[in-house]
Amino acid sequence: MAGLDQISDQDLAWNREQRTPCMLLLDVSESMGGQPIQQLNAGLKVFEDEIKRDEMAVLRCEVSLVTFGGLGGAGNIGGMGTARLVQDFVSVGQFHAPVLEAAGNTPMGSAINLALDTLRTRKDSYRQHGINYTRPWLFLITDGAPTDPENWPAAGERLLREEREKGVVVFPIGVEGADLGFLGHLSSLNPPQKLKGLAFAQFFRWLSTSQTRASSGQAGGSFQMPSQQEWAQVPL
Amino acid sequence: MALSRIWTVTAASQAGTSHLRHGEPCADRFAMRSEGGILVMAVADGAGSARFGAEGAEQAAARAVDLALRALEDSPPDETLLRAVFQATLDELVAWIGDRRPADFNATLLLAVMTDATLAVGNIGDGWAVVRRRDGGLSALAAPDRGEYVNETFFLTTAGAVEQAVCAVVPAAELDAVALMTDGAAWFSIDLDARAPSAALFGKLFAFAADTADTADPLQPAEGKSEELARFLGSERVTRKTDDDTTLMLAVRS
Repeated sequence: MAGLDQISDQDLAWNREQRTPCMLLLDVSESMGGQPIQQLNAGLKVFEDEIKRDEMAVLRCEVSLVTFGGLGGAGNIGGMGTARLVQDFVSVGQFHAPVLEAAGNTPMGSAINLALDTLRTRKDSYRQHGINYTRPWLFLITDGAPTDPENWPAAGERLLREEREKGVVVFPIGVEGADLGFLGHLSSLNPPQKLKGLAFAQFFRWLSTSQTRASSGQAGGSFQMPSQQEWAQVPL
Repeated sequence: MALSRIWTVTAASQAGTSHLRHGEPCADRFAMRSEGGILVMAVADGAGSARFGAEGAEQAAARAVDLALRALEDSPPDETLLRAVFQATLDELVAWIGDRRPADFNATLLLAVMTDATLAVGNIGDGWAVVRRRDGGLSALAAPDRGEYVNETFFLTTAGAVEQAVCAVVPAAELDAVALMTDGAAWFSIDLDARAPSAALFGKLFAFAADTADTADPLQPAEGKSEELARFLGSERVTRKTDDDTTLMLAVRS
């Protein structure tokens, strides 16, 4: 009997373009409720629409979403948030912006662990298929600080170590109310940026442009990020 | 003249995980008919942005198959016939849509007409047809123009679609398997950059479709086959690669 269970991962087609993976680590805790979460959702849609316009980006750029906060399962009481893999890595051509809801607290530590685990699995898959990839980006967008002491500071240290070992480039971004001093400890490459107002649309448009440009570069090379002035607040 | 070798068709659609997440049903449809030794198959993909994409796909696939069979009574299976069938399908669809907005029924349409001697494939949009020759060679037929599988495709109701359709007509005698699919299924079965179908995957899919008991109706595969194909399309192996709706029609000579 020639059953379909004999079809393995390796049998499936895999477009062999180099990949530019981007992990979005998004705070959806209660304090993001109202305008911030609406603007964040609108921004994700902007990202989806913009990046899909570029043929090369569609073949090369991949995106994954991990959220922290939000409502957990039925057994979740007392406003606990959870870390959730909302979207495993997919080509941006297959990415559909989710509609996120804000609730719960801020388990940033477990979200960082989940994001790094997801990233590691994806990289294993690239290597297994002999696919080149650019250094993954991890954008952490939050208006708060971790509420999961059991994962902290270990998760933050793991993130820094991963960045130091060139496994990821971290971009910490603070939304109104965020502690930029704290965010400054999450990357040794990029100082934290503060989002101008709720300029999520501008941020995601910038991200689309950046990821598109990065994807056309050589893996292992470097490229100049476009200006962040549309969305990043400049200290006076 | 009847087909000297009977074709068996195994087909299934599966709602994509992104559609399921948003509570949307599958907007892919397929249709097939066999008559007088002719096999006609169609797959249609209702546009995600169209309110009634699934209805548009349903109408397009079913009507195209019926119209193709009728047209073949008087005409050979060639490019002229394909475009005439597309035009007639569009005319019927527009009449059926009436005073509603045609764009709300946007759907792609991929049509394959097979006689003993000839396979004719016409492609409006981003569907893919894959054929296997007896010597094992695998190739895409009437593949969508490059760039169209990205994000912008065209639909039956798009102005100029009938003229823009990609058509291919090849001798059928040397073919032993044909697959039609929507773009969601192409994502995991075709290397879109090289435009090359995965030989390993189609080898197993066609072997699966060929491994069937004799049934009275040549269009019907052995019991449970379509369900198994649907399960495969919904399996994690596939949904890891695509979150779009997927449709696969596998026709093999038994």
